[in-house]
Amino acid sequence: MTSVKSRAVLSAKVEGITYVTGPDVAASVIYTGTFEGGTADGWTQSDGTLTSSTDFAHSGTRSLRHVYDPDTGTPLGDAKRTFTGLTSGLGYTVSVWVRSNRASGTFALGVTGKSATTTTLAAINTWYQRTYTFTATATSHEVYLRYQAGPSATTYWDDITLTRNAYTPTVPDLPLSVVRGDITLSDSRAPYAEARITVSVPAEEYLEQIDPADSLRLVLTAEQEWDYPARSPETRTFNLILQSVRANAESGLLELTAASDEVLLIDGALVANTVSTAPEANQASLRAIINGILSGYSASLAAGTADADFTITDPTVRTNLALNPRVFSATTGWTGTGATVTRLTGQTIPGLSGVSTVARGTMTAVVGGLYNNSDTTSPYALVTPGTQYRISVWLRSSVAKTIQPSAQFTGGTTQNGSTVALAANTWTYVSWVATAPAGSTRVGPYWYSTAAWAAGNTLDATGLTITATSTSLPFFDGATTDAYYTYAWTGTAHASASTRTRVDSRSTDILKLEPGVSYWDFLNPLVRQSGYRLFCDEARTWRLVDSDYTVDGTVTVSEGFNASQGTDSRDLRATNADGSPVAYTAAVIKYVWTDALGVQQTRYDSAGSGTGRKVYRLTEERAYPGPGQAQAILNRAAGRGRTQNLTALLDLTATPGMALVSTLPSIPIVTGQVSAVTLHFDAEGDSHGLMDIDSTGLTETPANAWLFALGTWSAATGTWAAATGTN
Amino acid sequence: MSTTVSNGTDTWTALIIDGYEDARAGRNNLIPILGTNERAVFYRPGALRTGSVRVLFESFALASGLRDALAEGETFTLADTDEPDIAMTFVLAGDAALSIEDETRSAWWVEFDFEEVA
Repeated sequence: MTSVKSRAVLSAKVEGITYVTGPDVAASVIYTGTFEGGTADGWTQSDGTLTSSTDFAHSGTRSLRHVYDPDTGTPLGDAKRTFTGLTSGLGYTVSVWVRSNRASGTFALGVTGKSATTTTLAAINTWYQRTYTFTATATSHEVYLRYQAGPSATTYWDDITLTRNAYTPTVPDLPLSVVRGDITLSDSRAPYAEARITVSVPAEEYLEQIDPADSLRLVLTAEQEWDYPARSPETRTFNLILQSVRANAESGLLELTAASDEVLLIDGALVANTVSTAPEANQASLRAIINGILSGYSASLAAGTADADFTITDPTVRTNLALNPRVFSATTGWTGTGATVTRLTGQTIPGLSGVSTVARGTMTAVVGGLYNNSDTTSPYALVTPGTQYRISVWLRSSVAKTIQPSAQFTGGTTQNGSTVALAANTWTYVSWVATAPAGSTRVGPYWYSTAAWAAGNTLDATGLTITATSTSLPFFDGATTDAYYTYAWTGTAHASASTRTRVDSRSTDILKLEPGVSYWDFLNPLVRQSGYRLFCDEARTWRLVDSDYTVDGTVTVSEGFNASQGTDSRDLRATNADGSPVAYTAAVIKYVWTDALGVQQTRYDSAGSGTGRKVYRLTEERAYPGPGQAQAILNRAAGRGRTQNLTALLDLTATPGMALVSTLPSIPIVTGQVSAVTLHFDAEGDSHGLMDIDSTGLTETPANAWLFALGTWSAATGTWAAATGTN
Repeated sequence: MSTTVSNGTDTWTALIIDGYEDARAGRNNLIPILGTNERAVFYRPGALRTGSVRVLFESFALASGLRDALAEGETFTLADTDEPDIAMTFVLAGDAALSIEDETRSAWWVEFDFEEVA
């Protein structure tokens, strides 16, 4: 069998450090316009004619004659010429000699799209030299000459030159000479990518500029070519943030480390004197919460569907004391004063979804209104003296009317809210807080007009809420449904009070961003609790992925082909790179935090069986995000302690998330997934051309497994066509 | 025939170049593979030349001047009009030795080890 033959090279550059690539280049005149040839030499005028004239000359016998319309006084336009073959980024200087038979006209010498030199000509019939310097931003630019001095003004231009100014050739990034480099990609720790390279020390003026504090980017480019087996050349770029620089005086070499962009979140934090609640604005979407943080670094997640809802729910069980609050059960509990009460269906109340039934009071020509007699109808809206009660309802009047909300307290005094002016035929949300007076036992709200109705006017009401809090709450009753709470009647449906209890148990502090806490420490528990992983790859693409995330492709490590070293072990004490155990049958996470009231809180999240062989224990010092992270951790323990440490020939395409097939001498074939890969480059050492592979989810796989069959799978028949061999 | 050694400021012209040998170290990485006698090859550019040069000067002053300059830690160029391909930029890689020419007793050898640099 022919052995593998390949070559691999690693190059590096530090972005943003201008590097001189050669000696200074002297200035060079690239155009001279003397007009001695009798033509305008490419200069044109938009409405008129430029001519080579013998009237006057700064040198030689001719110059460019530029005439303005003598009859109308309208300038005939600038003299222009486009110069090509320029080099973007370099400086150029235009020089002209000008004279005119008129003084104090409008002079300008410039480049279209850029600012111009503007002066006057002090005297007539006198040659003046004017210059203009610009930086080319394209390979061609139009130069214009302008002297507008009114009717009968004739201007002469001569000895026009365009000079490419002297410059020092540079490139915008500092190239480094790599002696050795090791690049690691891992899906089991953050940051995802880390690199350590050793380079020759650059010149001192550049060495001083390589400062990690300047957030410089270290871009590594790996290239690989193959003589055998035949493969197309590959190039892979790693765009990382410089983390450290160390000059080794003994070796005369420079050692640099760099990492992927997670370090921005690991090192970054809110710098403020107060807690920020800004993430709560995005509470319904984990992706939006993450993007809110990433936007501070001009970054965002790649498109994807992974998301989670972190809507902050009310931990307090709430009770709506109102009876028949949405007028569902006929008009029970709803009466009118000076009105006949009926029930309407099929109504649409903007701002009150899910409710379509209302109580309608048809008025007589008196002061009257609608009354919900929760104070007189069993089981009653019971109150406690001294407690605040928020009473909220949706009202609609057929005419513009001022309404007085009122709370009728049985055993106590009536409490009124502020009057509300209802616009005609417009649903209006009316809400106020009444404090139960001494001796009161029940409450029934009442809404009545402050002035008499006309007969036939109507007043509609629905969506009534009476809750023991001053906080405004959205309408609910026992028939309400949503993803965040469970709702129930305390007795007969629509004829009793109703409760609202939140479904989740997460802390209300989870989206409060504390000053000094790293953005990573803020986001990562939310991400892990949702069963996801957040990472930024070497191409600076941010991804939110679930535990099933894979990368297309298979890394094959085989004896007789590319396997250089390998060990296979099954060890319950084995740990991953981040110190977490490889094998466990249960997980317990302890959350410890101090809440907004200064009270120490402790919550647990567990998954698996406590009688299992091994329990993974983790303590998180932050607010409880709800259950899920323990199960997500348990899901990753699919390998049951089997690990293989492999060293194989370098392959630039190897990436965590790819499938792995491992065939080592005297060891069963094992399949799993690549969890980490380290690529080695070395100008002299023995590690050059090798990669180390860590894996996860390893299982023994027989050689005759479908995985290795060569053939065709038919989705229609659910069968393999006859296998023609094995991989 | 003219053999010269220069540090960009001074140039030493030798009477003859009597000894020259060089070698380039290969750097290909040969990697053993499990389950086979064959080794995989990752090609790498070989090292630049290393070796030794022996040149004769007409005076002690010239010879000692070169020896001392070599020992100072600078970069030098070697050029030979008869063998243009021998030209290189180098640094002293070991000793710079000076000795008298035995037959005439009036000329001086300078022998030095070199390593070519880019």
